[in-house]
Amino acid sequence: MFSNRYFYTKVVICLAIIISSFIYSSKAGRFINPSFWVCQLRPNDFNEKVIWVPYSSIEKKVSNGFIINTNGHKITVKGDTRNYSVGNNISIVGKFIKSEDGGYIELQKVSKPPFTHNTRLFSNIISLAILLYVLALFVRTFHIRLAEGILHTKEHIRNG
Amino acid sequence: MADLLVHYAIGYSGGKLLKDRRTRVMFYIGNFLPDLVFKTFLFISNSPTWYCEPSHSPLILIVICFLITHLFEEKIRKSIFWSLLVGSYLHILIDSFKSYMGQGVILWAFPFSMDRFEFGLYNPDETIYLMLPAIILIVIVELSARLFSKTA
Repeated sequence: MFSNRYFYTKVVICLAIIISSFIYSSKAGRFINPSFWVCQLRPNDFNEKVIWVPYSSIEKKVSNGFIINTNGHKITVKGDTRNYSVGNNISIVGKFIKSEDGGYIELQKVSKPPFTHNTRLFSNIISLAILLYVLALFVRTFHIRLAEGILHTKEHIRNG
Repeated sequence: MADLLVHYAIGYSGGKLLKDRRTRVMFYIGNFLPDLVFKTFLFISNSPTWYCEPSHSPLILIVICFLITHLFEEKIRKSIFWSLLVGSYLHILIDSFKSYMGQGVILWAFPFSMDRFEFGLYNPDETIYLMLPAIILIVIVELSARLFSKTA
Protein backbone atom coordinates (compact mmCIF):
# COMPACT_ATOMS: atom_id res chain seq x y z
CA MET A 1 0.00 0.00 0.00
CA PHE A 2 2.81 2.42 0.85
CA SER A 3 5.31 1.08 -1.67
CA ASN A 4 6.46 2.79 -4.87
CA ARG A 5 4.31 0.44 -6.93
CA TYR A 6 1.75 2.43 -8.96
CA PHE A 7 3.22 5.56 -7.35
CA TYR A 8 1.93 8.09 -9.88
CA THR A 9 -1.44 6.35 -10.18
CA LYS A 10 -1.94 6.63 -6.42
CA VAL A 11 -0.87 10.29 -6.41
CA VAL A 12 -3.24 11.18 -9.26
CA ILE A 13 -6.16 9.31 -7.63
CA CYS A 14 -5.54 11.05 -4.29
CA LEU A 15 -5.35 14.49 -5.95
CA ALA A 16 -8.54 13.77 -7.90
CA ILE A 17 -10.40 12.72 -4.73
CA ILE A 18 -9.19 15.77 -2.78
CA ILE A 19 -9.99 18.33 -5.47
CA SER A 20 -13.37 16.79 -6.34
CA SER A 21 -14.33 16.66 -2.64
CA PHE A 22 -13.48 20.34 -2.26
CA ILE A 23 -15.56 21.24 -5.31
CA TYR A 24 -18.45 19.04 -4.12
CA SER A 25 -18.31 20.68 -0.67
CA SER A 26 -18.45 24.18 -2.16
CA LYS A 27 -21.60 23.18 -4.08
CA ALA A 28 -23.32 21.14 -1.34
CA GLY A 29 -22.44 23.62 1.43
CA ARG A 30 -23.41 26.83 -0.33
CA PHE A 31 -26.66 27.14 1.63
CA ILE A 32 -24.93 26.48 4.97
CA ASN A 33 -23.71 29.68 6.65
CA PRO A 34 -23.56 31.69 3.41
CA SER A 35 -21.91 35.10 3.39
CA PHE A 36 -24.24 38.08 3.67
CA TRP A 37 -23.05 39.51 0.35
CA VAL A 38 -23.83 36.18 -1.35
CA CYS A 39 -27.37 36.39 0.06
CA GLN A 40 -27.65 39.96 -1.23
CA LEU A 41 -26.55 38.90 -4.70
CA ARG A 42 -29.18 36.14 -4.92
CA PRO A 43 -31.90 37.17 -2.44
CA ASN A 44 -34.55 34.81 -3.81
CA ASP A 45 -32.31 31.74 -3.39
CA PHE A 46 -31.05 32.68 0.06
CA ASN A 47 -34.17 34.23 1.61
CA GLU A 48 -34.63 32.88 5.21
CA LYS A 49 -31.34 30.94 5.12
CA VAL A 50 -29.47 30.94 8.43
CA ILE A 51 -26.27 33.01 8.55
CA TRP A 52 -23.46 32.99 11.09
CA VAL A 53 -21.60 36.32 11.28
CA PRO A 54 -18.61 36.12 13.63
CA TYR A 55 -16.18 38.92 14.58
CA SER A 56 -18.48 41.92 14.23
CA SER A 57 -18.97 45.06 16.23
CA ILE A 58 -22.08 47.12 16.83
CA GLU A 59 -21.69 50.39 15.00
CA LYS A 60 -25.06 52.03 15.53
CA LYS A 61 -28.33 51.30 17.32
CA VAL A 62 -31.58 51.79 15.46
CA SER A 63 -35.19 51.59 16.65
CA ASN A 64 -35.70 47.84 16.13
CA GLY A 65 -32.12 46.56 16.07
CA PHE A 66 -28.60 47.65 15.27
CA ILE A 67 -26.12 47.98 12.45
CA ILE A 68 -23.05 45.80 12.71
CA ASN A 69 -19.70 46.22 11.06
CA THR A 70 -17.99 43.05 9.91
CA ASN A 71 -14.71 43.47 8.02
CA GLY A 72 -15.85 46.89 6.84
CA HIS A 73 -19.28 45.73 5.64
CA LYS A 74 -22.33 47.19 7.36
CA ILE A 75 -25.26 44.86 7.98
CA THR A 76 -28.66 45.73 9.46
CA VAL A 77 -29.77 43.34 12.20
CA LYS A 78 -33.32 43.32 13.56
CA GLY A 79 -34.41 41.75 16.84
CA ASP A 80 -34.18 42.11 20.61
CA THR A 81 -31.02 44.15 21.13
CA ARG A 82 -31.66 45.61 24.60
CA ASN A 83 -28.61 44.00 26.22
CA TYR A 84 -26.13 45.26 23.66
CA SER A 85 -24.65 48.68 23.07
CA VAL A 86 -22.56 50.48 20.49
CA GLY A 87 -18.96 49.23 20.40
CA ASN A 88 -19.76 45.71 21.67
CA ASN A 89 -17.92 42.91 19.87
CA ILE A 90 -20.44 40.26 18.94
CA SER A 91 -20.99 37.15 16.86
CA ILE A 92 -24.51 36.53 15.64
CA VAL A 93 -26.67 33.84 14.07
CA GLY A 94 -29.82 34.90 12.24
CA LYS A 95 -31.98 34.54 9.18
CA PHE A 96 -31.33 36.52 6.02
CA ILE A 97 -34.52 38.31 5.02
CA LYS A 98 -34.68 39.82 1.56
CA SER A 99 -35.90 43.37 1.17
CA GLU A 100 -35.73 46.14 -1.40
CA ASP A 101 -32.87 47.92 0.38
CA GLY A 102 -30.51 44.90 0.21
CA GLY A 103 -31.86 42.71 2.97
CA TYR A 104 -31.24 42.36 6.69
CA ILE A 105 -30.65 39.70 9.34
CA GLU A 106 -33.42 38.62 11.71
CA LEU A 107 -31.55 37.96 14.95
CA GLN A 108 -31.68 34.47 16.51
CA LYS A 109 -28.58 34.19 18.73
CA VAL A 110 -25.90 36.57 19.93
CA SER A 111 -22.67 35.85 21.74
CA LYS A 112 -20.25 38.39 23.17
CA PRO A 113 -16.80 36.82 22.75
CA PRO A 114 -13.88 38.54 24.45
CA PHE A 115 -12.13 39.33 21.18
CA THR A 116 -10.72 42.61 20.01
CA HIS A 117 -8.58 43.22 16.98
CA ASN A 118 -5.51 43.09 19.23
CA THR A 119 -6.32 39.75 20.91
CA ARG A 120 -6.89 38.09 17.54
CA LEU A 121 -3.65 39.58 16.21
CA PHE A 122 -1.81 38.34 19.32
CA SER A 123 -3.27 34.82 18.91
CA ASN A 124 -2.31 34.75 15.24
CA ILE A 125 1.27 35.87 15.95
CA ILE A 126 1.69 33.16 18.63
CA SER A 127 0.22 30.56 16.24
CA LEU A 128 2.55 31.62 13.45
CA ALA A 129 5.54 31.38 15.80
CA ILE A 130 4.53 27.83 16.84
CA LEU A 131 4.06 26.85 13.19
CA LEU A 132 7.52 28.18 12.27
CA TYR A 133 9.04 26.28 15.20
CA VAL A 134 7.49 22.98 14.06
CA LEU A 135 8.56 23.65 10.46
CA ALA A 136 12.10 24.23 11.77
CA LEU A 137 11.92 20.83 13.53
CA PHE A 138 10.77 19.33 10.22
CA VAL A 139 13.65 20.88 8.26
CA ARG A 140 16.13 19.63 10.87
CA THR A 141 14.75 16.10 10.51
CA PHE A 142 14.22 15.71 6.77
CA HIS A 143 15.91 16.96 3.64
CA ILE A 144 14.93 16.89 -0.02
CA ARG A 145 16.97 14.78 -2.38
CA LEU A 146 16.13 16.24 -5.74
CA ALA A 147 17.60 13.27 -7.59
CA GLU A 148 14.93 11.06 -6.04
CA GLY A 149 12.36 13.80 -5.58
CA ILE A 150 11.26 12.77 -2.09
CA LEU A 151 11.93 13.68 1.52
CA HIS A 152 14.67 11.70 3.24
CA THR A 153 15.68 11.43 6.85
CA LYS A 154 18.86 13.36 7.64
CA GLU A 155 21.82 11.12 8.40
CA HIS A 156 22.32 12.26 12.02
CA ILE A 157 18.67 11.42 12.77
CA ARG A 158 18.87 8.06 10.97
CA ASN A 159 21.98 7.13 12.98
CA GLY A 160 20.34 8.15 16.24
CA MET B 1 -5.69 28.79 13.01
CA ALA B 2 -5.49 31.27 15.88
CA ASP B 3 -5.18 28.49 18.44
CA LEU B 4 -2.20 26.48 17.20
CA LEU B 5 -0.56 26.84 20.64
CA VAL B 6 -3.42 24.84 22.20
CA HIS B 7 -3.23 22.22 19.43
CA TYR B 8 0.55 22.05 19.85
CA ALA B 9 0.39 21.71 23.66
CA ILE B 10 -1.99 18.74 23.46
CA GLY B 11 -0.08 17.25 20.54
CA TYR B 12 3.20 17.76 22.40
CA SER B 13 1.90 15.69 25.32
CA GLY B 14 1.06 12.81 22.96
CA GLY B 15 4.18 13.28 20.84
CA LYS B 16 6.45 12.77 23.84
CA LEU B 17 5.34 9.13 23.88
CA LEU B 18 6.77 8.61 20.39
CA LYS B 19 10.41 7.52 20.46
CA ASP B 20 11.21 8.09 16.78
CA ARG B 21 11.89 11.76 16.07
CA ARG B 22 10.55 11.49 12.51
CA THR B 23 7.13 10.22 13.55
CA ARG B 24 7.06 12.72 16.42
CA VAL B 25 7.67 15.69 14.09
CA MET B 26 5.04 14.42 11.65
CA PHE B 27 2.60 13.94 14.54
CA TYR B 28 3.08 17.62 15.42
CA ILE B 29 2.55 18.58 11.78
CA GLY B 30 -0.56 16.36 11.72
CA ASN B 31 -1.87 18.46 14.61
CA PHE B 32 -1.71 21.51 12.33
CA LEU B 33 -2.53 19.79 9.05
CA PRO B 34 -6.30 20.48 8.80
CA ASP B 35 -5.74 24.21 9.34
CA LEU B 36 -2.74 24.28 6.99
CA VAL B 37 -4.75 22.62 4.19
CA PHE B 38 -7.76 24.85 4.91
CA LYS B 39 -5.78 28.12 4.77
CA THR B 40 -3.71 27.01 1.77
CA PHE B 41 -6.78 26.24 -0.32
CA LEU B 42 -8.60 29.34 0.98
CA PHE B 43 -5.82 31.71 -0.05
CA ILE B 44 -4.81 29.93 -3.27
CA SER B 45 -8.34 29.55 -4.59
CA ASN B 46 -9.79 32.71 -2.99
CA SER B 47 -12.97 30.68 -2.53
CA PRO B 48 -15.79 30.57 0.01
CA THR B 49 -14.89 28.66 3.18
CA TRP B 50 -17.16 25.76 2.19
CA TYR B 51 -14.72 24.95 -0.58
CA CYS B 52 -12.11 24.13 2.08
CA GLU B 53 -14.21 22.47 4.81
CA PRO B 54 -13.33 18.87 3.71
CA SER B 55 -9.89 19.60 5.23
CA HIS B 56 -11.63 19.03 8.59
CA SER B 57 -13.47 15.81 7.66
CA PRO B 58 -12.10 12.42 8.76
CA LEU B 59 -12.43 10.53 5.46
CA ILE B 60 -10.79 13.18 3.30
CA LEU B 61 -7.98 13.52 5.86
CA ILE B 62 -7.11 9.86 5.21
CA VAL B 63 -6.57 10.69 1.52
CA ILE B 64 -4.65 13.90 2.29
CA CYS B 65 -2.34 12.09 4.74
CA PHE B 66 -1.87 9.20 2.30
CA LEU B 67 -0.85 11.67 -0.43
CA ILE B 68 1.61 13.53 1.81
CA THR B 69 3.06 10.21 2.99
CA HIS B 70 4.19 9.50 -0.57
CA LEU B 71 6.59 12.45 -0.41
CA PHE B 72 8.68 10.44 2.04
CA GLU B 73 11.12 7.59 1.60
CA GLU B 74 9.39 4.27 1.17
CA LYS B 75 10.37 2.45 4.35
CA ILE B 76 9.05 5.08 6.78
CA ARG B 77 5.80 5.88 4.95
CA LYS B 78 3.59 3.68 7.09
CA SER B 79 4.66 5.27 10.39
CA ILE B 80 4.52 8.77 8.83
CA PHE B 81 0.97 8.09 7.63
CA TRP B 82 -0.30 6.98 11.03
CA SER B 83 1.39 9.82 12.91
CA LEU B 84 -0.04 12.39 10.47
CA LEU B 85 -3.52 10.86 10.59
CA VAL B 86 -3.71 10.53 14.38
CA GLY B 87 -2.39 14.10 14.75
CA SER B 88 -5.03 15.36 12.28
CA TYR B 89 -7.83 13.52 14.07
CA LEU B 90 -6.68 14.99 17.38
CA HIS B 91 -6.91 18.44 15.74
CA ILE B 92 -10.52 18.02 14.62
CA LEU B 93 -11.45 16.47 17.98
CA ILE B 94 -10.14 19.60 19.75
CA ASP B 95 -11.89 21.84 17.19
CA SER B 96 -15.18 20.04 17.83
CA PHE B 97 -15.15 21.31 21.43
CA LYS B 98 -15.49 24.89 20.15
CA SER B 99 -18.83 26.61 19.87
CA TYR B 100 -19.80 27.97 16.49
CA MET B 101 -23.18 29.00 17.92
CA GLY B 102 -24.74 25.74 16.75
CA GLN B 103 -23.39 26.20 13.22
CA GLY B 104 -20.51 23.72 13.67
CA VAL B 105 -18.35 23.28 10.61
CA ILE B 106 -16.81 19.83 11.14
CA LEU B 107 -18.34 17.45 8.62
CA TRP B 108 -17.99 14.09 10.39
CA ALA B 109 -19.46 11.98 7.60
CA PHE B 110 -18.49 14.00 4.52
CA PRO B 111 -19.01 13.25 1.59
CA PHE B 112 -21.95 11.05 2.59
CA SER B 113 -23.59 13.73 4.73
CA MET B 114 -23.32 17.49 5.17
CA ASP B 115 -24.39 17.16 8.83
CA ARG B 116 -22.22 19.14 11.19
CA PHE B 117 -21.32 18.52 14.80
CA GLU B 118 -19.87 20.47 17.71
CA PHE B 119 -19.69 19.95 21.47
CA GLY B 120 -19.90 23.75 21.79
CA LEU B 121 -18.00 24.13 25.06
CA TYR B 122 -16.23 27.42 24.37
CA ASN B 123 -16.15 30.26 21.87
CA PRO B 124 -13.26 30.03 19.35
CA ASP B 125 -12.02 33.42 20.53
CA GLU B 126 -11.84 32.25 24.12
CA THR B 127 -8.79 30.16 23.21
CA ILE B 128 -6.83 33.25 24.30
CA TYR B 129 -7.68 32.11 27.86
CA LEU B 130 -6.28 28.64 27.10
CA MET B 131 -2.87 29.92 26.07
CA LEU B 132 -1.41 30.11 29.57
CA PRO B 133 -2.68 26.61 30.56
CA ALA B 134 -1.26 25.35 27.24
CA ILE B 135 2.19 26.75 28.07
CA ILE B 136 1.97 25.27 31.60
CA LEU B 137 1.05 21.88 30.09
CA ILE B 138 4.09 21.99 27.77
CA VAL B 139 6.39 22.84 30.70
CA ILE B 140 4.92 20.06 32.90
CA VAL B 141 5.24 17.47 30.11
CA GLU B 142 8.79 18.54 29.32
CA LEU B 143 9.87 18.46 32.99
CA SER B 144 8.16 15.08 33.54
CA ALA B 145 9.86 13.64 30.44
CA ARG B 146 13.28 14.83 31.63
CA LEU B 147 12.69 13.50 35.14
CA PHE B 148 11.52 10.15 33.76
CA SER B 149 14.53 9.82 31.43
CA LYS B 150 16.91 10.49 34.36
CA THR B 151 15.31 7.90 36.61
CA ALA B 152 14.87 5.27 33.85
